[in-house]
Amino acid sequence: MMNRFMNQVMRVGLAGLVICLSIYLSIYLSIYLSMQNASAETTGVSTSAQSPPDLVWHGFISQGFIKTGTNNYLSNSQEGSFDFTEVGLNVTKSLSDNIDIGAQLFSRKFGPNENFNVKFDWFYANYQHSNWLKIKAGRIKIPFGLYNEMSDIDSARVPILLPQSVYPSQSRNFLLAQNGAQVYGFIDLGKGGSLDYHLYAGSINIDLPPVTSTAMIITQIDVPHILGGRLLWETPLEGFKTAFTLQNLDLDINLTQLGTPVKADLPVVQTVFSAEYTLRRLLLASEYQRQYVEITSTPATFNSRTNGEQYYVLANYQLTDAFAPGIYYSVSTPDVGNMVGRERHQNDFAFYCRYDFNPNWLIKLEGHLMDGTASLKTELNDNAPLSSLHENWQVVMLKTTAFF
Amino acid sequence: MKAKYIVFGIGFFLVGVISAPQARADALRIIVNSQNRTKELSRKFLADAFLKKITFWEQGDLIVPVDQDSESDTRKDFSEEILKKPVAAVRSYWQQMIFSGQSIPPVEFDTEEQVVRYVGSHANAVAYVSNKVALGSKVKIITLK
Repeated sequence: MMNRFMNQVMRVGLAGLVICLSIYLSIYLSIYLSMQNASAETTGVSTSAQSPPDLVWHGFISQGFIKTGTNNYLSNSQEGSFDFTEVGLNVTKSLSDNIDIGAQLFSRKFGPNENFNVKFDWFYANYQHSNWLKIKAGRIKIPFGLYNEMSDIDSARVPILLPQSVYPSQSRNFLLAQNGAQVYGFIDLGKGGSLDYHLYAGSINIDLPPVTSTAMIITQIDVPHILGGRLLWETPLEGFKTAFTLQNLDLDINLTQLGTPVKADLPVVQTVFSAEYTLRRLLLASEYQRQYVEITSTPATFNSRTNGEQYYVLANYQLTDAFAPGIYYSVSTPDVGNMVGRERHQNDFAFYCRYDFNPNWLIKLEGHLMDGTASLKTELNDNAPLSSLHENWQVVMLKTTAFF
Repeated sequence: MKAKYIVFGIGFFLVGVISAPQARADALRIIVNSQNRTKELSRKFLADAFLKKITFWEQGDLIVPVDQDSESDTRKDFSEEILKKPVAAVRSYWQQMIFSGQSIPPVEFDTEEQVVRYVGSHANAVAYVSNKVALGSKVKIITLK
């Protein structure tokens, strides 16, 4: 365990070095561009919207710790695990008042499956025609539900883990971003509030999971198309907004089972109803999701149809400028047609708090009381069937994030 | 045992809610460049502009919101009175926008004098200041509808 800890420290140290160099570079560029801009400002009134510095750098680094009493969750957590590191660096630039571009590099250590592979989290070119019509193309975060776009942005939320029923960390590759285009905009309805809409279409590149079983080996996963939209209504009641998301994606999977090639097609339809109410320092949110999956395979080994139900209720309170506690209750049922057994549900009661040391550094503490094993992975638990794992289990997490 | 933990969690949360600090309500002035034809704005338009949900003035020019340092008392008042969120929640909102590739926060200045100077030299800028700072002739005050 000590060796693993030291390896982790070394990796975090290297990532930290990269981030420090990036910070140095960004500060240098900011000062240089500010000086250029200051000299430009003395010449009179500027109609350009893009000064001061229009080349903007941001970055973050997170380190988490997870410990479970029984069952391994997200990593080898029974021993206590530091396999919970995230590093990101992004740059955005305005090319004109209407066009901007940006990209973010992201790397994480997350359990045994992701080991600091650096990838483009997102990149885009964005064109703003008006308040109600904007177009973005590239690799774009998916506006699914209220919080999918922030699902790996620790500094943007109070809990360490978003409710895993609707935003499962283990499905990040499927849910986070798509390669394609998005049309979106904001429509002021006057006394009726406002509408925020997003329509998107594209495909998803998925990294193959590591081989964990000799009985079944996945050789290829494709999402040739994803299509969806979210309509969010900011109601006339101050602080209350509600949204509806509809998404359809196709998963094509090739695998071999005991040496026999299998081809499976999984069309997935997801709907999410969302509501959020902010009353000054209090935030209440709830979302309800249905997920329909129909598996057609050749040979017909895996043919099935499931109708999943996921929902949560959440409350956060910003007690002081630096301290915010919160709680949520999250329920996931993979198939409402078959709910018997501990492996067919996951109820999660979470309580957590966030403390900001300063505007660039925070720490979080979180506890989970779990009922059910549906969110666990057999490969993390000695390939034991989910029905044999402990039904009631607890999670404690600690995480710190620095960002600029 | 589990019920005890749940009671602890809810109690932990309620202690936070009950001991809430109260927002201040000092006077705020909304300013734009003196060349800007806008005479009045709704609070909602101003909030949406500062959160960059709305990005264009009615005449089609890009809005340039100008913010103050997050420790500034004036920013705290603006945040609670106009944006209807504490500064911490607004910072979190911008973290989401920044790291999901959606937008970047408004330009930010340490002093109100710098804010006034910036608005005076940028035709499409909009900002808020307290009534303690001198405005000069290059900016004008906008009334809130």
